[in-house]
Amino acid sequence: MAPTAVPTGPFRPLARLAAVLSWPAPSGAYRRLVDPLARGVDVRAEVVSVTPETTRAATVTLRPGAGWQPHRPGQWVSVGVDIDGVRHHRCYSITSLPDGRRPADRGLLTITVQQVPDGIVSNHLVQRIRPGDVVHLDGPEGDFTLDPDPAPTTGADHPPTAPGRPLLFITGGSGITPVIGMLRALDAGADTAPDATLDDVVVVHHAPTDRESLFTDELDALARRHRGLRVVHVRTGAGAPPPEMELNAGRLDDLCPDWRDREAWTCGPRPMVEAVESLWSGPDHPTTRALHVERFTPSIPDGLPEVEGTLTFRAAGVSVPSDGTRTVLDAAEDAGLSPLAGCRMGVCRRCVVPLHSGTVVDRRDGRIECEPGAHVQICVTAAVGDVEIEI
Amino acid sequence: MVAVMRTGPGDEPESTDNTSDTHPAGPLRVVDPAERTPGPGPSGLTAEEMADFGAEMDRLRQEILDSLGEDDAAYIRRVIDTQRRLEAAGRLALFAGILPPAWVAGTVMLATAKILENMEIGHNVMHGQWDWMRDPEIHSTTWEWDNTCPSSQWKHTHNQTHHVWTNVLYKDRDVGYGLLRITRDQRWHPVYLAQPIYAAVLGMLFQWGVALHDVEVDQLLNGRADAAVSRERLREVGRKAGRQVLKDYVAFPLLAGPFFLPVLAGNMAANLARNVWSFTVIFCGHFPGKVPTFTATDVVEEDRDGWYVRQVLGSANISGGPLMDLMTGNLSYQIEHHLFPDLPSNRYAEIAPRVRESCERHGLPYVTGSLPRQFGSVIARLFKMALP
Repeated sequence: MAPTAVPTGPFRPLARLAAVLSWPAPSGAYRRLVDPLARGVDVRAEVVSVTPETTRAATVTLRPGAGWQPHRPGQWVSVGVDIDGVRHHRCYSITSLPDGRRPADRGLLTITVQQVPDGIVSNHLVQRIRPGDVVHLDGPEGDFTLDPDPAPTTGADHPPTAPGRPLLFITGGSGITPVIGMLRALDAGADTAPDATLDDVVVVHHAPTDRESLFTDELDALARRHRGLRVVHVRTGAGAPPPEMELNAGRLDDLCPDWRDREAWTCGPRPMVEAVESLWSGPDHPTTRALHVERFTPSIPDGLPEVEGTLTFRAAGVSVPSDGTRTVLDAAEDAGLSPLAGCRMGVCRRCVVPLHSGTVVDRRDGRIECEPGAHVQICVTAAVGDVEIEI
Repeated sequence: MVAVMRTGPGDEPESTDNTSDTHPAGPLRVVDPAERTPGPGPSGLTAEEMADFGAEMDRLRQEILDSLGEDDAAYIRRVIDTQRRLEAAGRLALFAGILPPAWVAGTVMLATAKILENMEIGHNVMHGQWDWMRDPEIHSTTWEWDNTCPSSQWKHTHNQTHHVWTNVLYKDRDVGYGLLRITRDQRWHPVYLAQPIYAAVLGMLFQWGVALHDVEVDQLLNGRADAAVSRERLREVGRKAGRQVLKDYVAFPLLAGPFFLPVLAGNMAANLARNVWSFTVIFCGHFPGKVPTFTATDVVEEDRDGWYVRQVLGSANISGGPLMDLMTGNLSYQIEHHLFPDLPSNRYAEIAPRVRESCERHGLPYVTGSLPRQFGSVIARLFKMALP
């Protein structure tokens, strides 16, 4: 949850007075009587338009209200929408330029959403949301950007980046969305990273068919305008798992012979991302170029403790058996409770609650927490044995 | 079948542990339906009848939970929006409060807004009735209400103590608020002769009574409460009440400049009206003459079904129309609220006929009456209990 912006300078006493007068209503409660996009706990945004991209993807243009901070290309935003009265949050990469580049886009934000089978939020955003609807934003967040990476995911000694550094993007499906955001920014000369340009860039994008591939025309147009940009479209066809996703050194040698000399970014379906990761950490990648990875689902390390026990929600007075793998949030919702939650991926920290007793494990990294009173993120932690928690 | 009500003997609770919030049965224990022995508790129902009633209530609750959706969310947002507009309009009108019509209009709007905020919004949001929406601004964990009582303490005394131990003497601290004699099971003392007077004072200062409720002054005096806990709670009340006083009695009057006094008077009148109204509604919920109290022995063997039955026995509704429902925060359906404290209040009206029918079929009394009748009955009881 982003902290409420505290004005400085001459407006500070006014803000103090407003806080005294509006107590104890939540911040923004009375401003919203005149401005529906006034900031509350979240930044709010109005849907401006919904434009189909493919048969199952659409670009949603949003106008954020006060409090939205400009993003860096490649970052994502958590979008909260009310569906059947219930708030759902999902993270989407921002595909628009940082604010202020093109006058027509000033103050607007776009995300491109691809429908997921049975995806409550993606189906709502692609098919049912209408201009004028209000959504809730949290962010921008993420370090999947063109910035020099202080701690590369892979590669022990990351060399100092040089101007016009050679770049490689390996994407699949909607994994192209953060990358198109970066390419658009580079194309527009937006102030991204000082040494990143389109002078030597390869994009390898995987999609099942031409019809389902996002931004095909735009990518090709960009490649025509920039001689240093090469776009490789890989068609994986229907049926899972597509063998083309299982990238190996031989295939990558065909698609981009000098891949070992490029700083790389990858985002897409898990099998593809995992193949790229193992390629970069294996013997076929002797160089030290960095690999940046974006994940929208937590990757669960092997060998986590899975201890059955009883999970007790103290405030609700409810106990349920725990299998040691389900997150505390899922278990609470299965028990009919509605604890607060946001991103459901361990980022926004809206779901933190105090642990009373027992041990929980963070399923992303296996980190153990057993300190009574510690605040744990229930969306990514599971109980280890008997646990009592404040829900 | 007619339910037989009894109130057990004894002045003192079985246990001195008055701070325990956890019901011995645990709210989720389900009775074995094969059990056919006479049911525990004061209802006179058999265990089988109680299990049948409990199962019906569980089904009703699930049915409503399954049907919650966009219309319900729109309802609470509409009420909140209306309340904020009323409050803003009321406070604006009071700035012109030097003109009597503006003062009256401003005070009425502000009082109405405060009543809505406390009753239909705050009380129900803090019960978690709207948590299913997962809106961080309308959630039991984040809501702070326009009342000197801190939300955290309200959720303790009200949600965890009163709703679990409804009308159980010395367990439910709302029975007389440690101040009034409501039942003959409380030993008489000459001080109760004055209780009609101090009940009226409590009504006028009700938000302060509620604020000090969790400090447990009465328990401190007889040595049953932990002084350190009470001190910390009192400090919290001080912080909350300070902000309430600063807003209503300092900041808004000062903002009005030369019209300091009309604004101050309007804010005081609005708080007074809210106090008296909420006192009236809440006392009608559990203390009309026909509503029994219980003793600790009544609930020793109580299970989930027995808890349901006791909620019906210990609560009373107020008949009226949709406006009465809104202004009482749907505590006009006190019985339904006590059966399902976490179901959204806008649904009580719809389930009330079914609850009533089920009560009648199971021989449980369903006490309801107009506001004057119910409150008259409360006053008569306060006078009667003032005497030995």
